[in-house]
This record gives sequence, structure tokens and C-alpha cells, in this order.
Amino acid sequence: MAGDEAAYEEFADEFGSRLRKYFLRKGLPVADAEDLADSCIAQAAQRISQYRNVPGIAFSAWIYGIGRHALADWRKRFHETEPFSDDIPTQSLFTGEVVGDVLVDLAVRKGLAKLSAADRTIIRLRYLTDGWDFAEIGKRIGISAGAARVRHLRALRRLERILGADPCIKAHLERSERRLKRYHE
Amino acid sequence: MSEQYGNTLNADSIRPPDWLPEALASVADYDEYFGPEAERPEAPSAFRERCRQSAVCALALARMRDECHRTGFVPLSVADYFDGIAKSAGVGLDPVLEQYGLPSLRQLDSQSASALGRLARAVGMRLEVVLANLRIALAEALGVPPVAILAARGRAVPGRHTSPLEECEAALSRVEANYSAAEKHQLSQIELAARAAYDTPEATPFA
Repeated sequence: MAGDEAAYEEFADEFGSRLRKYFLRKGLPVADAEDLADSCIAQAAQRISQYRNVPGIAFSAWIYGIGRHALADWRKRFHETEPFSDDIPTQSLFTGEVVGDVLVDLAVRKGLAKLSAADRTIIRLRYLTDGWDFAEIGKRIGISAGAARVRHLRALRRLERILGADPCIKAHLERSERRLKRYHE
Repeated sequence: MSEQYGNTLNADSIRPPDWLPEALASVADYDEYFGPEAERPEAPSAFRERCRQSAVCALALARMRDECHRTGFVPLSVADYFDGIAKSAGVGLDPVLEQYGLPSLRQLDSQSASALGRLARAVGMRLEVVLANLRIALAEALGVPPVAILAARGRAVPGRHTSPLEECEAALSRVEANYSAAEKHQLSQIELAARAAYDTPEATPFA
């Protein structure tokens, strides 16, 4: 039991602070960020035995998935402004929803890897690094802002085609559509 | 899926499907905060201790849940039941009690009944079971003889009850029939509070 306690404490140390920072960066007040992070730690710890060791999904990705859903739930409760926010009851944290979303992230990574280096650069600069505008992207890769816009659009189109064939993405889109229907009902 | 791109390359007026930037942002967030390259950020020591306590409490609850599942109903007061379950499971109760805001398992009022209800739910106890344990706790606090003994008397009547819980509930009903109005009110407040713990959506979703 002492060994197990030490392992659980280490888990809490490792991911509590990460969740806290994540929630703070997403705009939560400090108290809310800490409450939510603590809640995620408690819930994940209680369900660790149910963590599904899906190939390619790191444990950290599962924790991140829990944090994402907790954030969406918090936003829905306290802001109600995002029409496309996840309308997922907390139970879904421990069903396939979290795993499904983590698989979507994995599919996106695989899709990015299939792009050309130039396409990947444009998309990373636009979405994966603090959202550079086209002037900044153009300056970085030595083209005009207008040309950067066009290349960005083409890269997105190619990525969308790649991802469109992925079963995880299809399942994700179907889930999103069902959520949207429930939201409007 | 690509219809919104159209046949022109007017990038200002065309936007990607909503899910794609969201999915890309999700990948970016993972890399920044949880990925193997992301450093563990600093956090206040009080917060870190709080998370450690939550994790240790979760471990204790998981062990207690397994033990409750193995044990089932026992005609004990709620305090004796949780004490016994924790000892059998080899876990300390203090982090659990602190997490649920319970200074003591022996305190019996609507506030503690609410917390005990949440704890019972977290370890997978059925509502009727924790209600029986709470009723036993009140009966003992009011000086009633041990309910287990009263329940055993019911076995003298063949075929009368089929389970220890039913035996106990029958014995409690006989005892509670003699409660004063104030005692009955106290019982109903405790029961209401415990029931409410099972009615509200629970942050820790247990079946």
C-alpha cells in the first residue's frame, strides 16, 4: 500500500501541475483552474484501473483528454457561449469519448506527417504555435502574406482530404453532429 | 467535406471546417502541456499537496469499493461499517474523511449524512444499504440494543425474511415505531440528506 501511495502521489505531482497550467492558459481564474485540476486528478486516479492501453495512446494523452472534457464541461456550466462546446456529461470521461478524442489527435498527427514539409510548416505556424498571422508566416518562409494565405488554404485542403478518410475522424464528426442536434433540441 | 473551399482560392472568405482548427489546436495543446517534450511546470506547494491528497484518497476509495463489493451489507452503524471496511482494505480513512469534509464518522446530522451518502455512493454502496447503516447508527445513538441482535430474532420465524438487509430493515421498522416525534424527524432529515447525495449528478460517476 505504501508503494501504491507513493506511485499515486507521483502521478498527482506529474499531472496536477500540468492540468493547472493548461486550465490557467485557457483563461480560468486561479481558484477554478486549481479546483478543476484537482478534480481531474481525483477522477483519473479513481479510474486508473480502467485506462485502456490503446496502442499509440500515451497515458499522458488520456489525462489530457480528461482535462479537455473537464474544461468543456466547465465552460458549458459557467459561460454557455460556445455553441460547439462539447455537451458531454461527465460520465463520458470514462467511456469511449475520451479515448475517441485522443484517437482523433493521433489521426491528426498522422495526417500532418503525410503532408509535405512545406505544408506542414504552414499549418504548424498557423495552428500549432500561438496562431501566427499570414504576414508573420510569409516573413518566416520568405513569401508575401497573400501567398501565405493561399498556401495555407491548399495545405488545409490536402490535410482535410487525408483526414476525411480516417475512421476516427468520421466517428468524431458523427459524435459532434449528434451533440449539435442535442444542443438544438 | 471540401465544398466550402469552392473553386476559387479566396482565402479571406473561405474558412476551414470547424473541427479541423479545433483538432489542430488540441494537438498543439497536448504538445505544449502534456507531451514528452513539455516540462513539468511549477505549482504552489499547497496545490501540489492537495492533488497528492486527492490521489491518495482516490486509491483508498478504490480499495474500499472493492472491499464493499466483496463484503456486501453488514448490520453495523455507518461508522463501524466504514471503519471495518477501511481496515479490511488496509487503507487509512483520514484522507477520505478530510476529502468529504467529515470531522468524524460518528457525527450524525443532515450535513454529515449528506457527506456519508456521497462517500457511500463513491464506494459503490446501494442507497438502501447506506440508509440501513444510517438508521442503525441513529438507533444505537438513541440507546437501542444492537440492531444485529434484534434482527436475529426475526430468524426464529421460518421463511420470514430472505436477506440480512431485509431482516435488519424489519428490525429497524419495529424500533423506529417507538421513536418520539423529534427522533422521527431527525431520522427523516438524515434519510433525506443521504437520498439527495444519490439523486444529484455526481462528479465521480460510479454505477
